[in-house]
Amino acid sequence: MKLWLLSLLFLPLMANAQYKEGIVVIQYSANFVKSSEINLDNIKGAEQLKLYLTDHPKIFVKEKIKYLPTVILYHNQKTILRVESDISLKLPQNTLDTIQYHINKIIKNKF
Amino acid sequence: MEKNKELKELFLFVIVLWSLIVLSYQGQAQEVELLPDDQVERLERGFNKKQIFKKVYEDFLQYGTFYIAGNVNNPYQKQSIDYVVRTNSSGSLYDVPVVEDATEYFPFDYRYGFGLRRIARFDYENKEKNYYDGTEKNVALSSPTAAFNGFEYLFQWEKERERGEIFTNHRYFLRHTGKNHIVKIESREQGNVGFKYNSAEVRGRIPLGRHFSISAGAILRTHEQPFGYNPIEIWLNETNENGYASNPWYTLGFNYGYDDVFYTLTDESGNVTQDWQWVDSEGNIIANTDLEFRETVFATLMNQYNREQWALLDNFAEIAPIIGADFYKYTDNFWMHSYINYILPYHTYIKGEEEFSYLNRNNWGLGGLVQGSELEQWDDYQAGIILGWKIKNNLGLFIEGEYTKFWDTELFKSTVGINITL
Repeated sequence: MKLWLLSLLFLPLMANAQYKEGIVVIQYSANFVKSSEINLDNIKGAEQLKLYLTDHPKIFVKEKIKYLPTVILYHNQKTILRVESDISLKLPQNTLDTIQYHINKIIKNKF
Repeated sequence: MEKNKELKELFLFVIVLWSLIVLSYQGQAQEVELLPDDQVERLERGFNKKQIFKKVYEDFLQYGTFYIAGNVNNPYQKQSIDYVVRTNSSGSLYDVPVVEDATEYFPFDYRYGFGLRRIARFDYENKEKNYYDGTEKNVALSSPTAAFNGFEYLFQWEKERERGEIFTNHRYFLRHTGKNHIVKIESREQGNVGFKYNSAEVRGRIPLGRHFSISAGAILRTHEQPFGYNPIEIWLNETNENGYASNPWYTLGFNYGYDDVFYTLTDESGNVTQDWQWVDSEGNIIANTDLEFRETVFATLMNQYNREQWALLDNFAEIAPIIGADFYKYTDNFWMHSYINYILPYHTYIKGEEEFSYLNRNNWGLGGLVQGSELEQWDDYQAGIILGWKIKNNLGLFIEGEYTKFWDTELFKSTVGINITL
């Protein structure tokens, strides 16, 4: 029995982690548009990540990031919302509210 | 001239009106500026109150559901009907007897209650119904971690009738989960199985990566039953200085109002049988021999005696260190949630008589508690796993299981299966 319990404990350690699991908001950015980034600190109910083009170029290609900054809300690896900056390299003013609205919707579904 | 006069009056009217508006506006501005301190303080307090209510709503009430629910069901009924025959009203045993239906029929079962809940489902759990009625089973209520960081709770009270017996059940559960802590308090009573349990725990938690975390803290638990303490066994095993039983088994019958009558029976061949016939307090014969009494009524009396002796004891409460680990990963095609809790063998009783506690479960013998016996610690643990894997579009595998060992109680449930979509 104890062996079974121990295997149960350590088996999960072999699994790989994914950065888009759970509810995650990722801001894709680059050093030259730092001033256009938005502060995600006030977002509630989601993990926040900031990825820079120079550090993770492959992810930018994989996620087809064309505009910087771009903010994407993921839920268990699925894209729920994608907010891209406009020609002035600015994200829309209601970006935070829109993201929070969608996060709240995901959380509400859990209850 | 008349027209000029009218224009002058209109001009004056406009000026006066303008002046009144401006003065009134300034007056208002002055009033706000000159608000007394206590009023300003009151306004600020009101604003803070609003903020507090908003915070309470967001952190505690948002996503919660209040429900009142009930149900009525067919009662349990045996498949076959039992019949008995009764003597005819004439009183003669040889007249046509009366056949009667002796099947036990129960009134309908019901359940009603109310509750307030805010328990998050893990991604692999589906909402059973489009409403809550208090019959939901959520993994979050038994797993150490939650599907949501913050407050989760379930306050449920209900009354039910099952096979004609009425029970009251409750489950009060409150947990706050954060990145680095778990605080939980729970009280549960399930009347139809005589289950009563209270617990409170505080743990520190360290996430290791995105899916795995370990935790450690302390847990306080209560139990009603004095596990390992069997009063009837002790009572029957008591011996006097000569080594004879101090309490012969049949004296238990006397203590509960029964009596035995000695008789001698001689059959047609002259064989003589001697035994004791047992009667209740009203003189009704309830057993024809000692053996019959021991196999029927005596067994009931033993249990009654035990219940009465256990009822004399206080409830027990003990505290012990607890460690745990949990893993959670969910994708559309694969999910795994496993957890383990291990209550370390350093239990300290803070309520209840230690003599009758679980620490002495193996220390009872002839004459009661063995003198000089040492307190014996024990391990308690709980582990669970929920695994689902959609191997192909039309092939899925699922495994679910939970094992709990608390004191003398072992509980387990498991489900394994394969789904093939045709």
